[in-house]
Amino acid sequence: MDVPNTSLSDEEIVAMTLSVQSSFGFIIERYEAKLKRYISRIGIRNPDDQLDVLQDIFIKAYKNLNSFDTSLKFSSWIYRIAHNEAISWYRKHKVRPEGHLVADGDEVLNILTTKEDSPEEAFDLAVNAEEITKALDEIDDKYREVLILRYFENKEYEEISDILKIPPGSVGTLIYRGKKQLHNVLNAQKLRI
Amino acid sequence: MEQEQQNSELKLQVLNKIQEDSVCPHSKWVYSGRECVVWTLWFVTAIFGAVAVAIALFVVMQRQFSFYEATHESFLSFAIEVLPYLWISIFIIMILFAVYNLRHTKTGYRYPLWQILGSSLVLSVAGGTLLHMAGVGFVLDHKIGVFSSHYPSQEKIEEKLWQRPEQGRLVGALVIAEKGPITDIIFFEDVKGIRYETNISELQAIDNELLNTGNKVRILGQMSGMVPPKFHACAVFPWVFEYERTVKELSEMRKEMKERVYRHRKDMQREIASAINQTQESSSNEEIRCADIAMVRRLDLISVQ
Repeated sequence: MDVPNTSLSDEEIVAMTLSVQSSFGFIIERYEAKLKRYISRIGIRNPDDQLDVLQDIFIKAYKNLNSFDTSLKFSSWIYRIAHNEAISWYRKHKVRPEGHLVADGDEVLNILTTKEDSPEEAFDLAVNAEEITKALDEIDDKYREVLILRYFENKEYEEISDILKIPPGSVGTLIYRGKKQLHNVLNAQKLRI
Repeated sequence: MEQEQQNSELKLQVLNKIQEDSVCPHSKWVYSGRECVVWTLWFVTAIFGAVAVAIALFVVMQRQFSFYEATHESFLSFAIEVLPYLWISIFIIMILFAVYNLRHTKTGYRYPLWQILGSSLVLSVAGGTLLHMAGVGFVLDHKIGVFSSHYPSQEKIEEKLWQRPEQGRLVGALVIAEKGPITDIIFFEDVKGIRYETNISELQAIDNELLNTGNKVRILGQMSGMVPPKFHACAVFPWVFEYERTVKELSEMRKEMKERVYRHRKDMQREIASAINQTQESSSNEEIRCADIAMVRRLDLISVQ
């Protein structure tokens, strides 16, 4: 069954997949690159590992299609699965997630200059992507996760809340504290240099 | 190009695996069933929490009017002994379970902890208050006490506090009255079935009325002999756990009991003073024991409310 996947919403494809299995391919096409970048950013660097985790994510998503709550965005739902699978992978391999930012200059600039959430913490440091990556590696996981979702995946608070399963109010708090900690780490790095 | 190829590889791998392993989406019922279980568990914990509040409220309302001066040195030591720790613990555990369950509903994570905790607390306290007002607290405490010998119902605790002859307190009922010309002696059987030869010469009319009903009562006095067991009664108080009494009833009962003991103490003091003035070496002094019992001395320091 040929369906022009670009014209359908995620939710429509999900509904279709429940009757036509192969439609799930459209979901994979839409999300493979995004999720690969996401799991890479949150610490799964090896391409083989990435492939394994991505496969697990899509299989799990397929198995749990009926649990998809249409009041959520589909992207939040599949990002949540990706997040959980990445956590399971760390646990299985007993490693601490280490960030590997796949970010362009604009994205890095975004996190540095935004005054959102913490005007007093607006960055005035001249740093590059490498320094940001190092600094993100040093901050607490809980802060790193929200900063990546907010500034590198460009997710809204509601979406981050749905992905990480935390109250939207806590998302704001975590972003504020995360940026503060990131700021401190970057300052310390500058001093070390 | 290489990326696209890898992409389509993944798509093929996943779709092949789905087909080879006959992977199927789990039924919708699995998820709605799970949600149903979580909400049911929440409901059950909320009900248990409310029951715990109802019994705790019953205990607090009942105990604030207890005649603690007769059994304890202070209200604090009394409160520490009678607080319903079991129900307070059950309430805390139920609230924690309720919070856990709410957080594990489909959208539970969206609400901050304080909102979930607060709503669970408010619901349990409101439900518990309604149950208490309907008399559920008293009935459950009593029924569980009857059903289980290990459960310390308020009635059992009260019996334990008052069934201490060596400390001058007895719980039981009148069995035989033998009135003699000089001293009034009755036989009083305590809750353990021991019969005390009881001197009631110092009792007032209202005490005798209570005794003569044959109902379960509490007696305050002094033990005056071991074999056979003898007791000197100073005051008789009604038993309060036959049915649930209202706050007003309990408050009036407590006030009346305190006034009675206080009045009794004054009368005895006057009698002793009169006896000393007349320099009589009377055997009746032997019988005037009530003015000197610890509880009456304690009451002397407390003004009658």
